[in-house]
Amino acid sequence: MNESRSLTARPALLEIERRRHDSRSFTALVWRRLRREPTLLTALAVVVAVILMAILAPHLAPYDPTQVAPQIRLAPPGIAGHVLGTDELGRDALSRLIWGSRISLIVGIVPVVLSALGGTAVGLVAGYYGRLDQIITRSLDVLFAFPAILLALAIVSTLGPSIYNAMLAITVVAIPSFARLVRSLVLGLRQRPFVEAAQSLGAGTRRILWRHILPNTVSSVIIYGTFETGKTIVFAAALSFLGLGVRPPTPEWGAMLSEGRTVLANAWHVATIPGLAIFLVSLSFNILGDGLRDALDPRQTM
Amino acid sequence: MLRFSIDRLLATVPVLLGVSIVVFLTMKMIPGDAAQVLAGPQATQEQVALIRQSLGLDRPLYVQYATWLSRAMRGNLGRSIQLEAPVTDMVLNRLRNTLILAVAASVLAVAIGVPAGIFSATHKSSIIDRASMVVALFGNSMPTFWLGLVFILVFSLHFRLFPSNGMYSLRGPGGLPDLLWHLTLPALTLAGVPAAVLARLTRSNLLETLTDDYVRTARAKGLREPRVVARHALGNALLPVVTLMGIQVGYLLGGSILVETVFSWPGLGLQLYDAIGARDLPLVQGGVLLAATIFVLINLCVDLSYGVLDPRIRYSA
Repeated sequence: MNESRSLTARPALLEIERRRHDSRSFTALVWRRLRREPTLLTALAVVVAVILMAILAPHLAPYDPTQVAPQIRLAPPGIAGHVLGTDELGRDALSRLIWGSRISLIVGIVPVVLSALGGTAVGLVAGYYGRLDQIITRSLDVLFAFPAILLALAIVSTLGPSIYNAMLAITVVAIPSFARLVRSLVLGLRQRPFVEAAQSLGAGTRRILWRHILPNTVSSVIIYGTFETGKTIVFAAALSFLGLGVRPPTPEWGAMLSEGRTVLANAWHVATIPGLAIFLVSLSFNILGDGLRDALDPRQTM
Repeated sequence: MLRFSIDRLLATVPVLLGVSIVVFLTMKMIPGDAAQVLAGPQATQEQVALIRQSLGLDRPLYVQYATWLSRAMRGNLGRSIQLEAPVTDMVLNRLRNTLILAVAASVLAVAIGVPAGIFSATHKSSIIDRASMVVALFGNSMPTFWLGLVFILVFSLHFRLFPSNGMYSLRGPGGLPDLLWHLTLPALTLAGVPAAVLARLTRSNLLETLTDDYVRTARAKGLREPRVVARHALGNALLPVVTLMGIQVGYLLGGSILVETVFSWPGLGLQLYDAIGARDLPLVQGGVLLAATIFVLINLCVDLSYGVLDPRIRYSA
């Protein structure tokens, strides 16, 4: 690290530190930023709305999402009180979309959290303990050698198709990229003066990792996790689309899309609406990730 | 260059071994008795015992792996449960169709993404720049299988311009024009995401390169802007794009299973989809092993081409 750079970097760090402690001005800062960027605000609104939709599903859904009504099958949107129409079994598409948000969000978020935790642990170990680094990096390279969906597919088709196995597979597939991210951060951090200072003050390895290195990786992991959530929602829907996720009649966006595929010619809405939902939510998480990156880590650019 | 190539080749061997171990281990994750599962629910005790013995499931794990690997390397990936045919023949038969789709999609992705990125970078903040970056952002979040369905709805069911499934018409003329006609929608669908990623990367790299000293020098000596971009900046800006293309090929191999399913394109992906439905595990594993191996080899080629394109890589590696 070059001397003049660390000197100029210090006031900036102090500034960040100060802002972190002054919560009011931080909130004000975030809000000012959001107001200046309508796209970001919209994305945030979509994510919050979908989360609320998932939580309040029993109160929001006008019909039972699994209630079959053959006499009104494939009704177009707007007919007979079905705002988004009905599917091939006459089930209300809006209710299925609302209930489906629960599973789509859980499948999109839980594996990301799990793989962020797992990947961070692996990355910390690989970055800090030079001896294990080679083995871990090589193993990660092997996992990177698989196109993600194929590895997930191999795992789920062996374990048997279910939502839990799909989440397990997504977690396994996502761990390497988190591990690689954290490893590279740790490699940089362990050279920094504050780690040397902690070492010379006699801090043990565990303390250095927990108190000095880990906290400095959190913001990058959160930013990456936000992007990963957007990706995972699409990925999980893809697994369901291939018949490797939820079992019918559970409403889930990917599965709904897959069911609608067979009736595309007579009822376009059955497949396109859940697809649109997947797209919008994933897009919102991606925009949110961009915004978070700019807000939390202005130096990092892609 | 020779030294560099040999190093890269040698580095690929452990990765391929690792890939084979992972595929082998996923096979071992079958819950319950693997022989029972493979034999199917109607199998008799004798049949199950026969399968257990013929697969060597009664032997230690490392022996099973060694046997499996040596067979796989000789091209024996076992037999499909559903169709009772050798897996190797089945996957290799379908591979050609997947490669046609993947190559077409790669060509389209480069043909769309790179020029869009260049145009955006050289016309920064113009309306077209903003529009193409919005499209690129959308492309990043687009579920491929949904894009395919929308294409079918619009171009196939509504305008009746392109067929929505298959590779050749049943009673059509056949031949290349028929193939290309059937290929258009699946290839466009598969190219969507990589084109978006390529456009964004090309734009940001080119923007960065355009601020470099040697570009300023080129401008200062009076070169016109198109020549500065084409001769000086572009070559350097496109290097990471080559690497990304390698990664995208992996995406294409993975994404092809979705696109082939949507368009009933008779490739490896559709075969995998059918195999999943029938719980034909040997076929699934064989297909995954083949696809992962191809992915590793493509990345090797990308690494090697990188050495050709940027001589510095050869010496630092």
